[in-house]
Amino acid sequence: MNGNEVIESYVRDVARCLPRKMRNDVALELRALLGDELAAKAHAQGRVPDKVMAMELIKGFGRPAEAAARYHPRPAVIDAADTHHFLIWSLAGAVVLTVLSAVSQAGKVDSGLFLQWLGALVIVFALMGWRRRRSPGALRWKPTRDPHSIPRGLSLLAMVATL
Amino acid sequence: MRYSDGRHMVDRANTDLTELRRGVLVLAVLSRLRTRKYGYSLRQALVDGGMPIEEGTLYPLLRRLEAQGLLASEWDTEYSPPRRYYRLNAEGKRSLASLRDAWRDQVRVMDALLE
Repeated sequence: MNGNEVIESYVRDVARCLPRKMRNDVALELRALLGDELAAKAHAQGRVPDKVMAMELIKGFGRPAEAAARYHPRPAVIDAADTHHFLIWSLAGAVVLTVLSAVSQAGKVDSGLFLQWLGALVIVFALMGWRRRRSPGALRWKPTRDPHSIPRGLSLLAMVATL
Repeated sequence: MRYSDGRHMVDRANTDLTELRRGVLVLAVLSRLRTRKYGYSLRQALVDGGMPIEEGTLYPLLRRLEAQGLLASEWDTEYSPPRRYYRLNAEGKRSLASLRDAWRDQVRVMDALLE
């Protein structure tokens, strides 16, 4: 594989991560720019462009998915700011299901329930992120009256656990 | 991997410099696109002006600035492979003037803070 083939392979993989309508355009430009960069590198080093040189050049662009994300940023399924709460709710679900499993008469709870719980959380958090992006200001933070009161969500979880 | 303190300090300084440059990246790019340039020639112009920018950052930025309505682009098929040239449009010129004024204000503020 020579330098140009490495570039071609990289451009193809970047294009695959982009929406269909911008693939050809970005691929055409990226191919030309990487070709220019590779030729300049080779010229500066007095060498013929080769695979090692092309790989070195591409390292600066990152994985194809990373390069594509810079051309066409996509929102995260779960906002980074929500990761903490997502993990807390996931853990809470795991704890509740473990306790239910321990006290249930049958002695065990369907293990698929945890996956369903995780799936439901992903959907809820994704919808909340989508809503905030669509209507900035929606779902905004509100001050709570009592710092020691149990959050409404946890109360709900406790009720579900009780049932 | 453990680095010596000296290596840590160099890495930290490079990271800080990159962060500092990130804030003025758009202004630097707009300033060089008063005349039309394609990605590689723009990068060279920025390097020559003392503002090296990674290829992986610069090329997608041009697309984003075009999508934001600040740049116009056209393909020049006289070259093989064809090159996509960018230049400021009317909105880009207005944005450049506004950012340039804001930058000069910031420089005055920072100079005062650093006294």
